[in-house]
Amino acid sequence: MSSFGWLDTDPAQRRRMLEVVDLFKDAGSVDELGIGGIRDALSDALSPGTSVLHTRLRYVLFIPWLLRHATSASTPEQMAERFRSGEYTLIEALLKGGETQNVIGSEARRSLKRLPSAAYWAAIGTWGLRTRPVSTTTYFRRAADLRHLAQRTTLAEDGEASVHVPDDGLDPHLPPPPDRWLHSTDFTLTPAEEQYLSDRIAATTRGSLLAWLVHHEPTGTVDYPWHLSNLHEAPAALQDRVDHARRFHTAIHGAALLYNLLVARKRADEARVAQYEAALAEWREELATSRALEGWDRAAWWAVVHERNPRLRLQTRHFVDEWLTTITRDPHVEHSLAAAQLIQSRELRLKGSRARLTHQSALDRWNGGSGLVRLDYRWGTTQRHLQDLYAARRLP
Amino acid sequence: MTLTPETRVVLTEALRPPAGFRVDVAVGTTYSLDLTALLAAPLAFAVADELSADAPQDPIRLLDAVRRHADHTTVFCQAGGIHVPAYRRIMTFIEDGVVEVTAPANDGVFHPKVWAMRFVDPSGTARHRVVVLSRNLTFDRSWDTALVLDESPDGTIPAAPAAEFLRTLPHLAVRPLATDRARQVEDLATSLAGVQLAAPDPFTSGELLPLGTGADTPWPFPERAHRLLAISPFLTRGAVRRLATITRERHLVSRTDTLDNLGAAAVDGWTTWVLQPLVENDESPADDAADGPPSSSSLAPDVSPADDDAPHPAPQDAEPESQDAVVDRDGFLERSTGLHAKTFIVDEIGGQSTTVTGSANLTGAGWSRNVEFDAVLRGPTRRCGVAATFQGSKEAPGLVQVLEQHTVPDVPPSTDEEYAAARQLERFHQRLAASRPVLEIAALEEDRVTATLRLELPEDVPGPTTVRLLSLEHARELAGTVEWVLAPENVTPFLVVETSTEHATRRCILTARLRGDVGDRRQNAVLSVLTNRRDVLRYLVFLLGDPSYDALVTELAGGDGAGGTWSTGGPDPQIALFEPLVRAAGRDPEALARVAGLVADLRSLPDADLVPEGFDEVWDAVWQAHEELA
Repeated sequence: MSSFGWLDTDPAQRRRMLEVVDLFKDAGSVDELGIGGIRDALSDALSPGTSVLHTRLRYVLFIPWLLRHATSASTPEQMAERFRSGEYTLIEALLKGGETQNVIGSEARRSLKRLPSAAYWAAIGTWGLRTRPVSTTTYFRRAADLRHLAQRTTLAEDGEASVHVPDDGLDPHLPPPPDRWLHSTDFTLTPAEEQYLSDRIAATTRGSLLAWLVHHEPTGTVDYPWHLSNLHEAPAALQDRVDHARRFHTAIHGAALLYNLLVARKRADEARVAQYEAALAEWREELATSRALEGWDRAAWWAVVHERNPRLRLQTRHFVDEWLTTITRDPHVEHSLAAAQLIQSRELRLKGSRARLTHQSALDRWNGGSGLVRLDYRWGTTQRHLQDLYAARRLP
Repeated sequence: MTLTPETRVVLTEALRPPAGFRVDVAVGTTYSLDLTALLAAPLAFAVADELSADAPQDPIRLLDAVRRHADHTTVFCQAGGIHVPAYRRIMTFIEDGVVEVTAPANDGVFHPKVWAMRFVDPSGTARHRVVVLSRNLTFDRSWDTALVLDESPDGTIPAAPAAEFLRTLPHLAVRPLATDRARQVEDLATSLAGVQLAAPDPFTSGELLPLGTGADTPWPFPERAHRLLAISPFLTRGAVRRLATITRERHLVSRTDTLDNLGAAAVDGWTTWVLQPLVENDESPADDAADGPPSSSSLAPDVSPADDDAPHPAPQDAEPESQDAVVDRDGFLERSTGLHAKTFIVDEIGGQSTTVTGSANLTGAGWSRNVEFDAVLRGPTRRCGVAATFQGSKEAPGLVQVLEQHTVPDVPPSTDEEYAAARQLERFHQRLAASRPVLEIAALEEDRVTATLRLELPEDVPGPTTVRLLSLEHARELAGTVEWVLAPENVTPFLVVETSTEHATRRCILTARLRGDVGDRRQNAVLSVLTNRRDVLRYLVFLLGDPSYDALVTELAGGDGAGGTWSTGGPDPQIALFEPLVRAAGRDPEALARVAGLVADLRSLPDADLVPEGFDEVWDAVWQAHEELA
């Protein structure tokens, strides 16, 4: 089948690019100082498999069900077609089942470009619901190959069934879909599905916060993982990781505030200057009460980051290290020439002639505040998924 | 599919044969070439490619894929346009498939990025595909486009122009093509000529548009139009002015340095856009190996076999190239990040829109002197016009989401010395590549040979130039005759030349013709990869290429994909191979012939240690059965 679009080297790059594009839906989440590589490394360490593109957990079952559903077509091309139309049918089925929130494509319907399968494909692999790193295309081709092979074997071996039945690339223990699910369905997991997913996720992400939380339900919901009611019961290594994430969350927010303050000053926008100066004072307060910098083993922290993202540029690490050193010495960054220079040169290196602090034309396009969303390391998505599991356990 | 940012095409899928088919012939073209990326292409062709979990670095899989596809894969690239990779013995297999070419027009370059492929199934049915790209055959991480056009009986795009284009390629080569390669290209052109290709939804028709190979210089844009969106990383004033005449409402998406160099006057009347800086660079963590593709990450440049244990020393580790740098790390006039697509969307009078996409920049050279390859697609403006691409819909927002407006300064910067110097070196290396270098090999004693390079040294050498074999460290000063003494296994036709001037340094690969005591280098390269019986056994399973034995291959790899040692409970090699061999004897003579070739090679070795225990008996029985059946 012919196609036209932006080129990605492989499916992994496609997902990354979709996530990057997604950031632009909310100007506040734009990564102005280039710390996305650190954020993602910590997110991957805490909640492997999750993505900002996710909404609800049951999609990781919907997609494999749709795959198997599609293989009843005869050629791989027809399977792909059936799969694609299945994704659209799913939108209708979810709406019919009473879901109003979190339905991917509920507004775009058939013009939807970013299908749930692209958003969840990596999760399905990471959590072991598919056993091979195939793309949908190869899955269908393989399904057709295997069918040919089975027919051939049957003919060649005189009707005797083959002893060697190769798997289709999906976990054989995957729970079956409910009857008529493509007619009407919802996001509620059945107890069997819950048990299956809990087992798979905990087994495949062992050692992560996600895996631990699957079997240790906290009370209530929280904004950030370090507020979890039962965190003190987690293994020490896990507590450490969460603590690194917490410290970075607080420490780096000051850089985002200072950046906006510097832009506001350059623009001579008095109101915003006052706004960001006040915000920085608040941040200093948070820095002190949260003890984000006290006794932080930065070498251990960088080891966690490096383990998940060996490609992180040295330059990024230098910038962050220097920022941390600066605020440890004196958090009154709004009066520090060195801190201002650090932010300015970082922006220049990242954006060249489009750095707002250096070039007037770029400054003209500032919207008054950017990159100010606090890091949560995909905790929102992670908690949503966990709630889906917990809720299923409470079903009568 | 339109160019909204969420519409993505994956390269490995674009090159993969349809189900039940295998690659019969593949011809690619590129301006610059990364030999390591060329090694990755056969992995996409290979049928058993799903198995990447055990194989991100699996040399046996790579060997099988490369060896199986090398003889029917030919890539034409601009002479002097091959990047310097880390040397791997396995490159021996692709050396015949790399053809350096020059553009017919004086001062033009060979710039098309297209694949023409023919697939066949066991019944002999053929299917064709043409892939029109804006990316070279490299590991660039730029914003590029891909147009995949598959054969279809009711397709609306005739493939004939691609066939014509293929026929001209051998004539552009700096030295005559090997007869079998030339025949392959001609054969593909012949079968492709009668084919119709399907337009991708929502486009309804189109045509292929080779440039710079015929007498005329097409210009596929109407005289008058409603709206225009031009995407091009490189621009020249004349070409921008020429396109500007067709409408008042026009958008230009390019790079900041390109626009700034043009100056405000040249883009008067255009709304000028650039990519948001933060979508240009991708610094996010690589995915887990389990999620990784077989190709790119595992074969990324700078990962030499000796470094396999090192933590991904991808180029991203280095200081990033500045967005405004003119040249990359080899001194090529290229950028590996940021915008690289060349696509034009025109809303015509009457409700139809035209999209022109491919390799041609909006430059004078692109539309007159260079060899380029574009495609024209047509369809309703409502679905594939400027607004559909630019604005998109609420849930699938358009391109504008990742763009920002850029105000071009009044006074263009002065002409760039660095650019001029890089261009001078590029031309010099192109001349060197065309100077028909020959590498004469003469045996000295059992483990040493001399390699003597002879070429016609161009007269105006711009600066000190060195040359070395890609497999060796010691570079010599370039002269009409240069000699090395080396081990026979390090003989390679790939030469690295490096030239420095006051303002620039450039290095690239030239290919020499090998002559003299060359020996069977391919056989030796195979045997250098297969170092123990387990390797041989796994390779045999690959050679049999039966999809039902994927699980077996995984088991033989040590189960967890680490490619480690035999598990004690692992399969007995005799039993493991017997069934697939018997199956092959009944239905797949080609697979059996591949095994026979390897067995002959293994038996020719002085020590027979590599043949798996008990294999000889199994093999002889199977071969005998095969002979009787045949």
